[in-house]
Parts: sequence; structure tokens; C-alpha cells
Amino acid sequence: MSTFFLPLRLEPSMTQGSTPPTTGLGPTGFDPARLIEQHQAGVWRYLRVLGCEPSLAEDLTQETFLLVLEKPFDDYNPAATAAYLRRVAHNLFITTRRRAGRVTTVEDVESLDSAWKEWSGDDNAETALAALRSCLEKLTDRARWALEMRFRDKLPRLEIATALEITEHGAKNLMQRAKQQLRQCVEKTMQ
Amino acid sequence: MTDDREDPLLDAFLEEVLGDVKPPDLSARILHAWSVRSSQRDSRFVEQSANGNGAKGNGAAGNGAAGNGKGHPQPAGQADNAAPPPIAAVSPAARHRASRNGQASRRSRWSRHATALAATAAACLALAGVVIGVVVVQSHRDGDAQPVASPDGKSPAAPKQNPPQDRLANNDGRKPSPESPPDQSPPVQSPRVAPQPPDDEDHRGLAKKEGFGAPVPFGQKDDPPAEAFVQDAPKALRASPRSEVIAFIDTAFKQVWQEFGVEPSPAATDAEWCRRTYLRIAGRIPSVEELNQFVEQTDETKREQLVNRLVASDEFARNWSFQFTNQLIGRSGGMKPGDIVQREELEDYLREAVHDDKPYDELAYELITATGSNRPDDENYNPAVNFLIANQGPRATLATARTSQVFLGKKLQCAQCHHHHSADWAQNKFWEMNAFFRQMQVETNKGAARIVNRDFEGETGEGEADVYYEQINGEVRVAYPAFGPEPVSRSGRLADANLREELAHRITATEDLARTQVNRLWAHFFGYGFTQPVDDMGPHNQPIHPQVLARLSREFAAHDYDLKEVVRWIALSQPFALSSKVQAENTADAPEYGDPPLFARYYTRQMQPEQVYQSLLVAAGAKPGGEAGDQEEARLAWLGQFTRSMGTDEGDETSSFDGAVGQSLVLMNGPLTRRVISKEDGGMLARLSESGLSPQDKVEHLFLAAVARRPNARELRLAESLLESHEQIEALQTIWWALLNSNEFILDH
Repeated sequence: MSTFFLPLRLEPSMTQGSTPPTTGLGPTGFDPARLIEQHQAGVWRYLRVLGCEPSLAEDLTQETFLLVLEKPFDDYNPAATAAYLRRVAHNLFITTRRRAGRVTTVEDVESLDSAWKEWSGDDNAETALAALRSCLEKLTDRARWALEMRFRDKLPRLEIATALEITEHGAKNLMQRAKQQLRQCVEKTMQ
Repeated sequence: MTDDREDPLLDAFLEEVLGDVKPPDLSARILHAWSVRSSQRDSRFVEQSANGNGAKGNGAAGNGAAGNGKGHPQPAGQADNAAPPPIAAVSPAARHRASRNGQASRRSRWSRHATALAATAAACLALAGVVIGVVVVQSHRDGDAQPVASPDGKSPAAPKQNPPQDRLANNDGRKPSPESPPDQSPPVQSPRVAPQPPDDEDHRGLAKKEGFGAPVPFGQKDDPPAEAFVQDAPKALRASPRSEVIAFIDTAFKQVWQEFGVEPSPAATDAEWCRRTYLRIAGRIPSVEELNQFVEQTDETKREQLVNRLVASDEFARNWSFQFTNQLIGRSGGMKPGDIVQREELEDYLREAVHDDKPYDELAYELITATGSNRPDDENYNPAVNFLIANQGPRATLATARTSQVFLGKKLQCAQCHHHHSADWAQNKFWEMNAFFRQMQVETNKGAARIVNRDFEGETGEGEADVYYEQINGEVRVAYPAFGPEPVSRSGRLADANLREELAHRITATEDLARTQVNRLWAHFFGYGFTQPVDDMGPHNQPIHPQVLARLSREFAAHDYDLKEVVRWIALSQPFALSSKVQAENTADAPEYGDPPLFARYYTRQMQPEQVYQSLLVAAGAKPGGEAGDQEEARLAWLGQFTRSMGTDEGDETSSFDGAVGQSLVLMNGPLTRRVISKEDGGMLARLSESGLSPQDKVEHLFLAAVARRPNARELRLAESLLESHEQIEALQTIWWALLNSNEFILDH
């Protein structure tokens, strides 16, 4: 199916389960531009991890900030604000899926949410991305090439297998092993 | 995202690191949208306070819009003649914001309306640094300053009796105002409502990308031209003789093979060709008698004779009624118990249409414009209504999407919610087409449904066929019926125009109608069309072998949209007569791996569920095509177990007839298979067992019945060993079951 996006209206229910930070800087100290600048990359990446296409992630990132800016909002500290934004984005994502008639397994989303928290740190996952870049260098040329074909060139697995002169199943195994190494490497680096 | 997200977190990160899919800077866009929404919210509050009764309606009535799109900014001083403002009690700043209100002010009196316009101008100036301009179109009626077209392009005050040409007075589509000629009116900036394109630009689509950020007024020189949504009407072409068209196909593909450096596979055997021809045209495999009769025939024209006989048969009509029904309402439409869609009635209608050689454009016209009841007992019974009854959807969105997909070969549903990025079709294309369906009302009564046409007063209730849609940046726009280069009446009243008839006329005049159907027919015969998928044509998905598609489309139109003639051309062409065996010289022809199809061999593929069902019946010795009513019910029940509607806006379906476990179990142990392999008296196996044929001939008969060939030496040896170790009928049953569950049986090859 093509990329979809259903018009979203701002609904109070979308902020359910989230509590805006209420202490710290008062309304007069609130700077929407700074808030957006500081957190937009994190929200966008979080939505991508949940499964949004880039365009949908953009749209939901925008809606997340619009929804948050609707209410009086105190930017208590970056971590609390990031959690709040993430929760709103999470609810918007679920709502979008529901409106599109898609079933979303809550357990899967919660599990991704938890994984994201570990990787995102307090810098919108920039550290994890840097670690990933470094870990990619440690892969074998063949494994890295397979991942490049997959994620850079968007080739189907069959074409990757053909290029590597292995079976499709072999290509799948190769990439799975490479990703497993990457995950372990990134997590070790971030410890 | 990649199609297999085993590790969503890592995959997303890898796409960013390796695929350069990085987070965009959305600051400006979000701040802009925030300022727009803030002003909308404030203006709603002020309007409610001023009216005391709350703003009635919010934005596009019932369309789920966030904005209201009815601000009326206008140059300062233009509202001097307006009545005293009803919102005088509120603060000037709030009054400015209130003037941006939409629906409430739209429904208010003209006096308040004009005051709001004046206030809007001030608000626009205050926010000029934040937003990008909107062209204000104005006119006057009865001496009052009234907007003819609001910034969103709507023209609520245009007198109904004015012909559409009045609104097209200027090149830019704006009616000149006596007080403010368009060329002197400064563009007024609005943070909320982007302008609609002038009338003459509507048909070219939005001239700008509907991305985020500051909106740009339409018609600016740097606006990229939008892709034409529909192709021009087919050029006049003399209907060529059949032999000429077939020779054209053969010659064209010889050139293709030369260009691509591939050699075509050798010709298929008579038996192979016969099996695939029956499957594609009649929707089933041939019986042993039919196969033998064809193979033994020595006449040079025997293939042409067979094709002619098959397209003239009831089975052709039945097969194509299935195909068309699937296209129109999907495989799941009308399959649920109590469904108001009468699938069988639609199939019967289509069967009759195909049988009677109804031209395809007439068929399309009837389906798009159908009115009446789908209950056979009703006086105004019209089975064609089942198409739109099955595809009504909220605000007729599904009818719009399906009509575009089926008859124009364009998946327009993406544009329902956003600009179609790959095809460059603006969102207004969807809603302009949607407006044609808004006179249509589906009424249900005691398990039946009927379609009636009623006046559509527009979503504003003012008589014009206006529909509102929200862009993903929150801006609300208006669309009126528009399709193709000719203007359409904006009136939603039946006395002025039957909009579905207008649309049907336009669709059947496009080249897309023929192109789409030819593409679909070609894909039916070869497994691959000229585009992949066949119903997603457009600038983003250019056809392979365009010269063949263009010629066949024009010939199809020139032959009065005769489906049977296209079937003859394709079935008698060289590509259809090639073997499915891959040769060393044509390994490059591999559409299975995503390469463009060169049609240098016949592509092996799984039969459709309908074909499997009919083929199993034939294999069991049932009379081909001789279905009674209860058998029809059994057929639908058998088919229904494989398909499920996903309930999405696009009417997506999922099928388990994909070689997975479910399909295998049904074919191995299902009631139909048990019936086909039954040893009981009167059954095919019993009759074969009791016949005077030798055991080897009996085995040969089973092979011919299932896979249209004789067994090879190895298969014969295996069969003989089975026959030696078991009772004959049991051995035959085992062989028969194995054949029916073999890949070779279920594959069209």
C-alpha cells in the first residue's frame, strides 16, 4: 500500500497516559522553537522505530508538537520532556494505525518503546548512531556490503543473494548475523 | 522501511546511517502550523462569544477537517460598506483573529461576513511575516462587498444562473470585480487557508508540491507543472484487420528481443498451448476429450478456430464475469452472509454484458452511472448498482478510488490524504473526482440496497457541489467537480447536472480507459502487464513496451471496445504461443526478479482460485460450464474461504490462496478434492477403472486430465509399481490425488 496519512484532529485522548512536566520554567520561560529544535530528531527517530515511513514520521512529529503546544507546558528538563513527547507520539501513532484500519500489537510497540529508551539516551540517539557507524566498520566487507545493498540501495534479498553469489536464505542469514553483531557492538560501546 | 523488519530499532538506524534517511528540520513547518492553529482556536472562541450560540459546524461539514478554510481576507477598505460588525464587543486583536473564522462566518449573514473580511485584512498584516500569501478573489453582489471566491477558491456568492463561463472570465479564473480588478488587487496573506487554483488551473492539478512550509500562491512561474492526470482521448484510428494487429504484436516483440539480446523460447506444444488457452479464456483446463480433439486436429487454423470457439462460448462470458467482478468489488465483496452487495447478481449482469458483446466503454458508463435497486424483485432492479454499493465508503471515497483504479488504471487513493508524491498528483485530483459522486445516495432496506441520485447541496449546504479536504499541514481546501480539460458545472443540483453521468462521459472519452483494460487483459494472459501493478499507471510507473500498449489501446477503441477482439489478438500472438521453459538465451527475461518482462517465454504462474475450482470440476468429469444454482453457491463458498477484506479505506484484501499451508490443506483434504478423487460409482475414477483401457492408458488419461501431457518413463514405472501393489482403483486414486496436488497441475505453464 502506498504511504498513507489520515487527517488528524487534535484530541485530548491523544495525550492520555502522559503527564506534561509541570515544574521548572514557567510559561513565560517556555520557548517553542527551542523545544522543537531540541527534540524533533528524537521524536522522528522514535516514530521511525515504531514503523513509520519517513513521510508519516514527519507528519506525526509535527502533530506531536502541535498537540503538546496546545496545552500550557513547562519544559522541566530534557529527559522529562522527551518522555512526554514520546508518549504523545506513541498515542498518535496508535491512533493513526487504528484509523487506517490496521491492527497494532501493543506488546510490540511497548517492547520497541523500551528498546528505544535504552538506545536514545539523552541526545536523541546520536551516541547510538555514532556507535553504529563505528561498529559497521568492524564488520567483514561482505557483511557490510550486504547491509549496504539492503539499506542504502534498497535491493530485495534475492538481488543481494545474486550479487553475493549465495542463496537467498544465505543472504538472510548473513544479514541477520551482521545485525546481531552490530547490536551487541553498539550496546557494548554504549555501556 | 524495508519489507522485513526483523529488528525495527536497528533497521531504522541502519536506514539512517546507510540509507541517509535522516530526520528533517521541521522547525519552521511546525511553528507555522502552530501559529495557524492558534489563530483558528482563538477565532472560534471569539466567534462563539460574539454569537452567543456557538459556531455552527466546524470546517467542512462532517469531513473531519481540523481547519475551516473559510477565512475571507480582503484588502483594507473593501468592507467599508458592510453592516456593523457583530463582534464589536471583543478586543480589536480578537476581532482580527475572529475574522479568520470559517464555517460559522460562512453561515452567518452577509453583513457580519463583510465585517469579518475587513478585520481579516488587519490580521493578515499583523501576521505577514509568518505566512505566505493568498490571492483574494472578490466580487460583489447586489452592491455589497461579497467574496465570489474565498481564498480557498470557493465561490459561495456566484449566482446559480450564471453559466460556468462567467467564472472563467479571466485567464486566471477570477471574475473581475467592479471595485477591485484582479490585476490591481494585492495578494493578501493568510496563515490558514491556502488559495485554490484558478478554474483554468484546476485541470492541471496543483502547480506546487503540497509539502510543508510556507504555501506558495498558485500560478507562480516557479511552480512545477503537475502531471496530467488523464490521457487525452484516443486518437482516431482505423480499425485494423485482426491479422494486422497480431502481426504487429509479433513484429514488435521480435524487435524487443533483438534490442535486449534475448532469444524467445521455442514454441509451446499443442497440448501446452491448448491448456493455457482454455485456462485464460474459459477459466479452466480442457477435458481429456477436448485436449485430444485439438491435438489430433491437423487444420492449420486450428488455434484460431479454438480461440473463436472459446470466446463465443458461455464459459468465456462466465470467466470474464468472474474477472470483472473481482476487479469491481474485490474477491470479498458480497461474500459475507447478509451482505447487501449481491455478488451473484453483479456476476450475472457482467456475464450477460460480455456474452452480448457490450462495448467496454458502455459497460463502464453503466457501472459508473447506475441507479436502482439490487433486489431482483424490485421494479427498478439494476444489478449494475452493486459496483457502487460495494464501494460507497464514507463520503464516497472508496467509490472514487475504485473508479479511478478500475477504469483509469490509477491508484488515486493516496491523494485522498496527501499529495501523491511519486505520481505528482495533487490532493485536489482525488476530491475533484469525489465531488462527482456526491449526488449518489445508497439506501438500504431489508437486506437490499438501492442507489438514488439526489441534489447535493455541497458540504456547506449552499447548492454547489463543494467538498472540503484537509491537507496534512492542516490547511483546508475546497474542491469542485473537475475532470479533464472541459469545465463542469459546479452545481450539485440534478436539474443542472447529473454529475456521475458527467464523469462517466469524461472517463469513457479518455485513452486511459482503453489503456487500462488492455494492460489488464495482457496481464491476465501473461501474468505481467505493461506496468506492474496493472492498476497503478502514471508518470511514476511508465509502461514497458509502450508502443505495443499504445497500438493495442487505440485498436481496442477503434474496434468499439470489443473485449473479445483483444482476447483474440493476444491469444493468437507469438509471445502467447511460446514455451514456458527458460532457455539459456533468455535468462535475462526474468520479471520474477524484478526485471521488465520481455515476453520471450510464457511465464509460469499459479492458477487463480476460480480457475482451480473450475478445473477441478472439469477434472472430476463434471460437465464444463454446467452449473446449477446450488453449485454456484458452493463455488462462492469455496472461493470465499481464501479471501478476506482488510477493511481499509482502499478496500484492500488479503488472500490465503498463495501456496501457503491453508491452500495446501484445502487442496489435499478439502471436500472438493475428496469429491474429485472419489472412487464411488458414477465418479470419474470409477468409470475410468471400469473402462476397457489398459492400465497404462488409464494412467495416461489421468495425466492428460490433470497436466495435459502423457507420463514419462519414470512416472510410468512408479505408476506400474503402484498398480501392482494395490487394487487398481486405489492405485488410480493415489495417482490422481498426487497429480491434482502437484505443482504442475496448479501452475499455468
